Amino acid sequence: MDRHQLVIDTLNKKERDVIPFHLDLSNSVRQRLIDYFGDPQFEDKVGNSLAQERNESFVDLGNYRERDMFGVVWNKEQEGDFGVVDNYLLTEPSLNNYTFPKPDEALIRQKCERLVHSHKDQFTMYIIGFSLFERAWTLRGMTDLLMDFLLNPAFVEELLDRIVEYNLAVMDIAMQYDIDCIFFGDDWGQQKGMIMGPGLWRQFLKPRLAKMFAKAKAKGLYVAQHSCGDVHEVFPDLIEMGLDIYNTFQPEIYDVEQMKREFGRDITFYGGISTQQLLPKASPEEVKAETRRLMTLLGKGGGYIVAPTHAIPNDVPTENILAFLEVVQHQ
Amino acid sequence: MSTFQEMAEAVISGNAKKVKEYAKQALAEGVSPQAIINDGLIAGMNVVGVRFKNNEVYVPEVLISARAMHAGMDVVKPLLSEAEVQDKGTIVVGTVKGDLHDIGKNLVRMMLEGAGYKVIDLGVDIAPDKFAQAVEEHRPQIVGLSALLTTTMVQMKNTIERLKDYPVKVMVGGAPVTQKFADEVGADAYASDAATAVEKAEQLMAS
Repeated sequence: MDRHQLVIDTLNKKERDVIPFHLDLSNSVRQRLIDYFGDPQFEDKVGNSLAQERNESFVDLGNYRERDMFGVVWNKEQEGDFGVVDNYLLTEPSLNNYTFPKPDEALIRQKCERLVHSHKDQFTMYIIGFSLFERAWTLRGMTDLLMDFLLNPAFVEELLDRIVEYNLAVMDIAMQYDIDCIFFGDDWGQQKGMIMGPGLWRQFLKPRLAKMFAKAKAKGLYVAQHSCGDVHEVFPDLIEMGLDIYNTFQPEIYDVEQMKREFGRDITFYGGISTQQLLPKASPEEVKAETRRLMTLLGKGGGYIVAPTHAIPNDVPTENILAFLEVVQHQ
Repeated sequence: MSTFQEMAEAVISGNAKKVKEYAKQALAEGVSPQAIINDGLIAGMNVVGVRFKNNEVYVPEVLISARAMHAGMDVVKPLLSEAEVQDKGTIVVGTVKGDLHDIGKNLVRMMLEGAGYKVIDLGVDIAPDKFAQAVEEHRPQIVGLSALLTTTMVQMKNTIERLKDYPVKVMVGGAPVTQKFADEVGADAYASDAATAVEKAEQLMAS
C-alpha cells in the first residue's frame, strides 16, 4: 500500500478505506518494545504512515542531565518524562548576555537525507520542536516569560523574532530536500484554555507562526502544528494561516465530534488516542473499541491520522500498545 | 489620598509600584495593616480570581497581580505582630514525589494567598513523609497535592494514605487528575484549576 498517498488523500479530505496511522513512542517504551519484539528495527516494520526526524540533539552531561542546542540543561531524573529545565539562561529580560546558536547544518542534512532515502513510501515530516513559546520559556523561565508579555513586551518581541530567525534558517536547509511537511511543536494549552490566553497568543505568537507557515507553504510543503492541551480558541486563526494538520487532539479536552464538524473540512486531526486517560488505564479491549470509534468518527470524509495523543509514556502497558496496533494494522 | 478601591485596582492591573505607594500612603494616614490587606490587596485579588475563572484574564495577568499584591504585603506585613496576622487558614501545598513540575502548583499558591490564606509551599518532588512532617509542623487545615504526570499522580494515593490520621483535609489537582480519580484515592476535594482551588478551599474550611 502506498502509505504516502494515503496521507496525501486524507489531507485532501478524500476518504479511503484505510486510515493512516502513526505509533509515537517515548524512549523508555521504545526500548521496552524492542525487548518485547526482540527486534531493534521493529518500528520500521509496524507500518507507520509517517516518517519523522527531529531538529534536536542533546549532549549527555551525566547525572541525568542533558544540554540542548540552545544551552539549556534539562533534568531528566524522572523516567519517562521529558524533563524540567535546570538553568534558565536569560535571568534578565535582555538578550545582551546570550548568544543564539546557529542551526546545526550537518545534523539537519543528515536527518533530512535519512528521511528522504530510507522512507520512500511514507509521508515525511521534519519536526521543529520547541518552535516558539516553548523555546522562549525554556530560556527565560515560564513565570518570568509570562510576566514579560505584559511588563517587557519589547524584549519578548525580540526574543521571539530571534527564535523565528533560527527556525527559518533551519527550514532553509531542510526544504532543500524532498520532504512533505514541516511540523512545529509548541505547547500553548492547559487542560482548560490557553496558558497565555488567545489575546496574547494573537499579539505575540500568531504573526510569527504565520511567517513560518508561509515559508513552508510557499514551497508547497504541508504544515503541521502540535500543541498539547486546549487551544480551541485559536483554531480559526490556525486555519486562516493555512495549517494542514493539528496534533495532538486530546479527547479528554475536545468534543471530538463537534471539532470534526466545525473544523474537519479545513484541517486534518492527528492523534486522538488518549495517553492521559485511555492508554494507561483502560483494558486492551477498551483501547480497541475506542480506537475503532475514533477512526469511524474522525475518518469520515478523510482528514484523520490515527495516533496516540503524545509519545506513549512508560505507564502504558505493552498489551494496550499491541491492542492499538492490532486495530490500525488490520483495517 | 488613595482609597481601597484604587489599591485594589492597582492590584488588578498588576501595578506593583502603585500598590506599594498606596500601601505606604495608607499606613501614613493611619489605616490599619489588616484593613489594607483585606480591603485593598485581597479585595483586588478576589476580582482577579473571578476574572481568571471567567476567562477574562489569563495566567500572565494573574502573575503580575500576585506580584503586585506581594509588593503591598511586603510593606504592611512587617507591621503586624504574629497575633495580629489574621490569615483565613493555613494550607500546605506541594507537587508529589517523582514530579518536578510546579507551574500549576505555583498558580494555586498565588490564588490561595490572594484569597487570604497562609500558604506553606513545600516545592516539588515531595514524599508522603515530608507532607506529614509539614502537617505536624504547620498544623494546616488543608493540604493541596499537585501532579502533572499520569505516572506520578499515583503518589497522591500514597500521600493521602500517609495523612489519614491527621486532622487535615486533602485537595488534589493537576492536568491528568479528575473528580473520579480524586474520589478513588479518597481526596476531600478536586480542583480543576487555580480559581476553583480557592472555592474548594472555602468549602473545605466551612465543612
